[in-house]
Parts: sequence; C-alpha cells; structure tokens
Amino acid sequence: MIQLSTPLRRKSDVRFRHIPPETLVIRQSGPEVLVLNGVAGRILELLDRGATAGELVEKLGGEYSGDAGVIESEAMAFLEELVSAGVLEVSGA
Amino acid sequence: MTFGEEYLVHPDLFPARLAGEPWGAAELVLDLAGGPYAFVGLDAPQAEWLRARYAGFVSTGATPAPAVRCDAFRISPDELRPLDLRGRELTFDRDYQEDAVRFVGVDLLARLAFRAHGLRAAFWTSTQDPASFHGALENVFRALVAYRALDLGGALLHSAGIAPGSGAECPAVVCCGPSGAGKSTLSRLAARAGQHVASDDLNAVLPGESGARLSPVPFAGDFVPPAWDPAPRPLASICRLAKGGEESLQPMGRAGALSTLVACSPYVNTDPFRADRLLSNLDRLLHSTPAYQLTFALDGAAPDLLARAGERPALTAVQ
Repeated sequence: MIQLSTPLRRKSDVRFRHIPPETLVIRQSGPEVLVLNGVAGRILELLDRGATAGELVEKLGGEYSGDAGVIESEAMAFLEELVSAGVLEVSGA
Repeated sequence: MTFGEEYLVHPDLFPARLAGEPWGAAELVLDLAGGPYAFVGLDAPQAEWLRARYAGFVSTGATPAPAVRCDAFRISPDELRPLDLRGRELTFDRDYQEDAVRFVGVDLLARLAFRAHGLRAAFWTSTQDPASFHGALENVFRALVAYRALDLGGALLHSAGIAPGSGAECPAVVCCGPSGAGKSTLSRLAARAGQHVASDDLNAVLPGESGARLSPVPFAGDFVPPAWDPAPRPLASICRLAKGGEESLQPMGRAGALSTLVACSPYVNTDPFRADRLLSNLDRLLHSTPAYQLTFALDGAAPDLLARAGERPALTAVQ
C-alpha cells in the first residue's frame, strides 16, 4: 500500500512513448506491451525527475480539473495499479 | 543466476572478442533483408548443407562487400554444462550492452558487436554435424537480421507474410501475432487459395523509396513454403491476427498497432539500448502503412480478407 510520502520511480526495464491520447508502455523483461491512458504517460514523465506519490498527486491536481479529493483518491489508486503492473516501483525498496 | 551460469562451466570466460578456432575455410554469403550476410569459418559439409537449406538466398558470382559478417568457431564440449533437455523449453540468457549483445543457450554462445562500420558477430558451438550446426547458426542468423533491419530503419516481425495477389510486385500483407495467434493456419489457408506465402514465422519490413517493403527471410514456423522467393514486395498493410467466428478486417488505432508491432519484434524488443530506435522505426512505419485487426475463422473466407488487406496502401497516415 503506497502512501503520499512513498517515493516512486519508473522500473528500469520500462520504456514508454506518447501516442496521443494514449501511452505505449513496454516492460522489456517480459516483454510485455501495455496501452495506457495519457495520465500514465504524464506520471512516467514526472517520475523521470523523481517524486513521491504525494508530489505526483499535487502535480496532477494542478493539471486536471476536478474535486481535489477525488483526484487524490483516483490518482493514488492508479499509482497502485501501475505498481502492481510492474510499471512503477517504490524507490529504495 | 548470473549470465551463462546455467550453460557454461566457466561463464566468466565468455569470449570477449570475435575470435576463436574456425571449423574450416569455407564461407557462405546470403543476400536478403539488408545483406549480404557472410558466414565464414565453416567446414565444407556445413557450407554445402547450408547452401541447400538457404537455396534462393545464396549469393552467386560477384557480390558487394557483406553488410554483416559472422564467424563460426568451435568450442570444446568440456566448456559446456551437461543439461537434461527432456521437456525443457529452449531459451537463451541474454546480456545487452551499449555496443554489443551476447547470448548463450544449449551448445551455443554468440556475440553481436555494433561497430562504426556495421554489425559484426561470431558464434561458438561444439556441434560439427551440419544439421545441428545449422540450428546454432540460424539462432544467430535470426538475431542478426533483426538488428540489421533495425539499423536500416525497419524491423523483423514475428508474422505471416502473404502476398494475396499474383505477380512479383503484388503487395504483401504482414500478419502479426504471437505463437498460437494463427500465423501458420492463415498461411496454409492462403497457400491453399493460391496466394503466395513468404514466411509463416518471421518477415523483415524495411523502408523503401516508395514506402515500406516486405523483405523475405528464410525462416519458417510450421508451414514451410515449397520454395523461397527472396524478392522484396511493397507492403500494403499490417494486420494483427485474431481467431473468431465473425470474420472482419477492422482499422486499428496507432497505439494498438504500435503495441502489436513492438510485441512482435523479437530480440530487439527486450534490448534496453535499442528500444527507442525500435519504437521510432515502427511508429514511422505506421505513418505510411495502414494497420488492421484481421479476425478469421478456419472455415471462413480468410483469403478474401487478405486480398482486401492487400490492396495498395493509401499514402496517408493511419487513423
């Protein structure tokens, strides 16, 4: 279970490319190819500079309109999914 | 387990250079997909066997300097760990580096070196018998074609390549899918209908002046064509294969098409140093070549769908 303070990073075998409105994600160790939405691409971009889950949620909140609480819960759920899918991992874990 | 540990007695002694003891002085030059490819260091029976196996692709007479050179070297069986192969899936350990790729499997070590003047390679095996030696060589050959195609702006695709019309310049359709997707089945249906099958397993797609072309390679799966035709053909479309009761040919979106092509680009799609190049090549390919999902049934009209997919490509970007 990730928390807002959890530092996240893209897994080292993951490559991605924007194909608007989607994002193509390759897990090379599989290999496995995923087609995800554009938010996933934005998250991967932001993570290239290193970020905690909370920092990501804050950035996304500034870029997408909507209720802050809803954005936070949806973003955290999505981050959990990306960790489960092997796209992201917890830094230093 | 570290690289090679499963296969080699001394994995830390994996050859660091493209050097060793050749089997003989014979060589074989094959002209296909970004070639010529020169295999050197063969003994005479190996060369003869390979000439027969790759008939149609063998260079005769004066040929340009090889684009890719691969040396064959012998290795002592004592260097290899004995393995029980019963029920075992044959795979390779791979190690990717910025300027090289090395892999090791059952009775095979190989190193591919990316140099300023082109791709160079070597492989080491303990097997002199031509038929078994060919197995080792072809594993390396497939990887060489994949990397050479990448270098030329194309890709080697796990696919069935089919030209549904008649004539040497008839456009081809490349139907991609993993094992079990129906590539060999579709190839059989197409051949039964009189359509030309380039390969039911691997096809090189290379950029050309007037669009992408299917460049045949002599690598087959379950369906071996009666004769190999090495002539490249214009590429009409790319299809993702699916089996289903309701046959259809539906345009694909770019992300879905690109994901299919990446998944069907063996060797290179697991290489972290060359993944971006692969994505760029495939993305560019999709700008000039339409992509469809082709759903077919065993008792349906697959050859008709292929004929529709094989109509000459519109020079517009896919949706």
